[in-house]
Amino acid sequence: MKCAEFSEIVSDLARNEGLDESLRQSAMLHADACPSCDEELEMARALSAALHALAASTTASTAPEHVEEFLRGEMRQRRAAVAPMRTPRAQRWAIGGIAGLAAAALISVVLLKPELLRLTRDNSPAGSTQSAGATTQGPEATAQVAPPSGNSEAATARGGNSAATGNTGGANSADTASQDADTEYATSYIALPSAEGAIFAEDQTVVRVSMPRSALASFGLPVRSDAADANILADFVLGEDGMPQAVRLVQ
Amino acid sequence: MLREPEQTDDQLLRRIIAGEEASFVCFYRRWQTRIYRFALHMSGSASVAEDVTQESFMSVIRDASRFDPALGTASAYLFGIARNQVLRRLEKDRMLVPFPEPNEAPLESRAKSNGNGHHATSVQPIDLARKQTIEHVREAVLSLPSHYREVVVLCDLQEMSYDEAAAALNCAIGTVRSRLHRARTLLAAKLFDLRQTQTNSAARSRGSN
Repeated sequence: MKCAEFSEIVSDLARNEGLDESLRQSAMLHADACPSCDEELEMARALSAALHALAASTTASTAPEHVEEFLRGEMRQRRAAVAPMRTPRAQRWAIGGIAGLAAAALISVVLLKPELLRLTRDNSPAGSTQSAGATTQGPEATAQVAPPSGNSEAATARGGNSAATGNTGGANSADTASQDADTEYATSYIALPSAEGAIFAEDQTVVRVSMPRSALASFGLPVRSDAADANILADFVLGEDGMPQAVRLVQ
Repeated sequence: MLREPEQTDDQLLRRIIAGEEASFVCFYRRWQTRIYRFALHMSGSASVAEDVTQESFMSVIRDASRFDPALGTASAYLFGIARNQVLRRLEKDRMLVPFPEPNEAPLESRAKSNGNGHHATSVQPIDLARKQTIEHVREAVLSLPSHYREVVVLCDLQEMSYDEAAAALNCAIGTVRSRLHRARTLLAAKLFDLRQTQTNSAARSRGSN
């Protein structure tokens, strides 16, 4: 090893880091044979000792306790500020998600079977069997996108049945038998908390979606904990902005 | 009795994001001393060290979600924040005319302070010569350019490995090694000069008597 090479690694040697054993031994042999490099190594070691003494002089130094108190206060404030926002934010995301899903379902219905798209109005009693149209409960009036008859492949786009015949306000008698088979039950429409004060028009869009029951909680609706994971069918009345305003459950 | 396994920094940071105060306290107590001392050695000022510590952990409270364990350790993340805070503060202070801080005790005595003005009494008195040597080393470290100073503080004063220092400084290990080598050469020269000056002034004072 030459003196210049030794000089390059003298700090590593003094710190005893970053050198493999063979290089370290080679350097030590050189220091034994070269007084000036040996002196350089001694100086490097003395510097390490001086720095160690400096580090040791502050080993008890810590940030004052009031810093921790301040930070804990900040942490609490932050949590307090974030907590109330969490539900509405999650709710907004869920609503947005459902709206997106509903919009996608609507688009698929429109694109795939445009002739099946039909707006109807139904004044049948709330909670009754829904063969066509929507009920007028909670929301003053709702309209429904008439879904295809039978069970659509796309469950999320699946809707009621009889309006698929093209009739308004009633079922075609020829379809009565199949309607009986497809008879479904639905709750009345419930206005969502996010749409409080909204006035429902007759021509509003209704889409049917399949979703986990637990998603109802996102809309501020109660959910049975024992069946939270089960999938349900729901009809959503959408506002002009595409956001759901009312919902009913379908079985 | 079985002790609960200590939580890793990654786990604590995840819980801090979720708003768990206890996890924050645990993380803070684990790291605050090292961050405080890093800032203290970098700035030479207890008040700057205090500010830097506070701001660094405020960043953790605000932005812990930015920490990605795939990109580096919590240590590197935290020292990276502290380093930026220190450099920003030093740059700001460089443009101001420094005033002596009224209650700024020498670091030596602050080292025995618990931060509330209470001083430990169990520490052995440090003899004057050693105290002077430490002060000289401190001055020499503080006189280094910041990019040299930070490697000395991390590697020699905080006893980080080259790997750890490189992660904290977000640079290559080779850069840390070469900077440290250069920094130590500068330090040795400064200390030698200081010693020479002292020897000369001692000789002059002896001659005048």
